[in-house]
Amino acid sequence: MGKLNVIVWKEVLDLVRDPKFIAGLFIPLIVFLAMGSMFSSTAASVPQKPCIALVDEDSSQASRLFAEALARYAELSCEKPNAKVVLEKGFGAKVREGVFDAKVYYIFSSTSISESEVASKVDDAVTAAARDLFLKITGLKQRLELKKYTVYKGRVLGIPPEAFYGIVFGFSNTLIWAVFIVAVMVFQLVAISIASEKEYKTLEILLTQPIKNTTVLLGKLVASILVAFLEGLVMAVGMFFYFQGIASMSSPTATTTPFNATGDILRQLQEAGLTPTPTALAMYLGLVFASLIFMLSIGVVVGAVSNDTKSAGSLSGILVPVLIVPAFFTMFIDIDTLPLAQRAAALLFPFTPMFVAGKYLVTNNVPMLLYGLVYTLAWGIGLMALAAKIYTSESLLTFSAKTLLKRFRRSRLTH
Amino acid sequence: MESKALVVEGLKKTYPGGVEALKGISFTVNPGEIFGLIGPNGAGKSTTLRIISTLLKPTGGYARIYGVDVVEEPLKVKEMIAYLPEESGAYKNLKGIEFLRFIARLNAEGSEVEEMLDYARRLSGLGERLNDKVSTYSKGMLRRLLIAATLMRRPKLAILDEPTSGLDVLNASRVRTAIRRYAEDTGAAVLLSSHNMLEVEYLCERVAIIHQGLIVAEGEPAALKEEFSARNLEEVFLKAVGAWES
Ligand SMILES: Nc1ncnc2c1ncn2[C@@H]1O[C@H](COP(=O)(O)OP(=O)(O)OP(=O)(O)O)[C@@H](O)[C@H]1O
Ligand SMILES: [Mg+2]
Repeated sequence: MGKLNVIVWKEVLDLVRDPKFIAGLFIPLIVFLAMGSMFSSTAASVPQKPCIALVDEDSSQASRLFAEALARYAELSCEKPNAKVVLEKGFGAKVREGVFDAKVYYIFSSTSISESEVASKVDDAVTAAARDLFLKITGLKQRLELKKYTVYKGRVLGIPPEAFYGIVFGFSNTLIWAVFIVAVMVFQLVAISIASEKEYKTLEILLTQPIKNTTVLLGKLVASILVAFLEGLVMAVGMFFYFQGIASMSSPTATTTPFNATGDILRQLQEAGLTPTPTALAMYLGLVFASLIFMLSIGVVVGAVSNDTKSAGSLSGILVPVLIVPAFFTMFIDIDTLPLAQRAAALLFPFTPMFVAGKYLVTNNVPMLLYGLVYTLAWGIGLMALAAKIYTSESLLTFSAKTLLKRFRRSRLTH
Repeated sequence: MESKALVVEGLKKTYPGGVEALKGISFTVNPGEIFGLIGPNGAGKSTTLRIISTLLKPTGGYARIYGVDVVEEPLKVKEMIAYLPEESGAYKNLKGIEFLRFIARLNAEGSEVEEMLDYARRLSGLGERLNDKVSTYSKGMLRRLLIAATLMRRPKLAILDEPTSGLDVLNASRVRTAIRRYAEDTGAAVLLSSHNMLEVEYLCERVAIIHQGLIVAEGEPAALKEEFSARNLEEVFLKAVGAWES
């Protein structure tokens, strides 16, 4: 294994100088654009009127007027409310002073991304109704004093919904995309690095150097991870500015993560089990590592059966959508709310665990993280054993659908 | 210590597709000797060289380099040989000198790397062009780079598959001189394949003519000419493969 660094050095140099590497940096940007359009289409699929349960403890003229106004913007009687608005005793008196004082409980029933859209619809409805109320009572300058709470799994959290979905959606979705980008890159890099040895006829020279074939393979894997992280770093910098831009437009709590939350918010998150424990974090990192091995092994197999970078590229083209499906799926649908059979099917799909991991990390679901870790690692090790077998056997040199076809054609021509 | 540089005995190879490329060939190469494998297209030359280079597994027989079996101890074999494939390239995103350094670092440590590189610079004759990317090289330049990368490793057995293919007269003759000098200076053995009978006659102490996976003639060029009552090796070759029309 002493020459591993030499192989890694060559691989990194060869990969980074390739024009395809530069192109690879743009793919994630396209993914970002796709993500943006997905966001807006989810927004469109959310019902126009949110469902709000109004609790009137004041029973004043003002509270009744508010109920009337709110009925124009929201459903007031339905089975599963999206929020509960409480008007406490003295509400009417405060309104006459020009203050709108109410408690709003945002009820999150799942960790699907559409929930955040519903929350902002609730906000809009309450604000609009409050505005109407002040118009009726006339002349007074309004001041909104909304006390915002989040209700998650029946537990009331003293944090506004922006902070809540900043963590559950913003942060976990960033994790999902980070994993997606690195997974796609690592897989493509290793596939292309193996296929290009064939395309540029360097494989035979490489395999007859005084090193083990497994060292050659390991060097490629290490180099692919290094370069993928390098690309990931470039992307992270881009993403940082992207989120900075978003943060400057909306409320600062939207960028809350379990790691930068402070004071009261942190305490509330801890009580709700929304800060990762060291165990969950370790499981998560383990799962990310297992996913890398899994993706690498697919890359080796694809590279080994491809004759040139072009066919490696088109083979990987098939895999990217296969990865996008579970990635989008876990962003927009909460797997835990699916019926058991569908949930099992989703989780048995080998690419799902690496993407759900982000959500299970923020909700501290250690058993599911452990399942993902073990399941993905099993796939990774199994496929890597197969990949290493292909790579160290002569079929790496002799197997190729293309040349077999060519030889067949040539022999027919000569006869 | 085994006195033969290479012993090939009853070597057979049937490819997965069913092509019987080698039907049992045997020959030996002595240290300090340049041995030539000649034969028509598809005779099995490259297959033989690739088995000896540990890239392919034989389906019968064996090949031993200084007594070490190529199947049983491939790593030990790879430390003694250097193989130049028939069709070969270098990493196109690397500069010529970077490619040489890569190979040198896989084969040596410390100051030995620089020694190897100095030797390779002289062998390649590429001068300043070594600082250019491999993708800008002509076919002949690439071949010279690869030959330098092969011989700088100072193998005890150099395995060269059509070393001068694609080279012009001047470059081909330079490469031949380098090969001959290498064998004389180091006492190493060279096994090469070629279509160029002139080249084989000039370079090789002994040759084997391979045809349809079998060796049909073997010996010193002079002895072969006598045996086949031929004027030159080309005639020997044509007579041996049964294609001679007078
Ligand atoms: N990977 C492969 N799969 C199947 N058959 C192969 C493969 N490589 C070579 N062969 C077949 O084996 C036979 C010998 O091929 P080989 O390349 O050894 O010939 P050669 O003597 O080097 O020819 P040339 O002078 O054209 O280079 C040919 O019939 C060839 O078609
Ligand atoms: Mg050949």
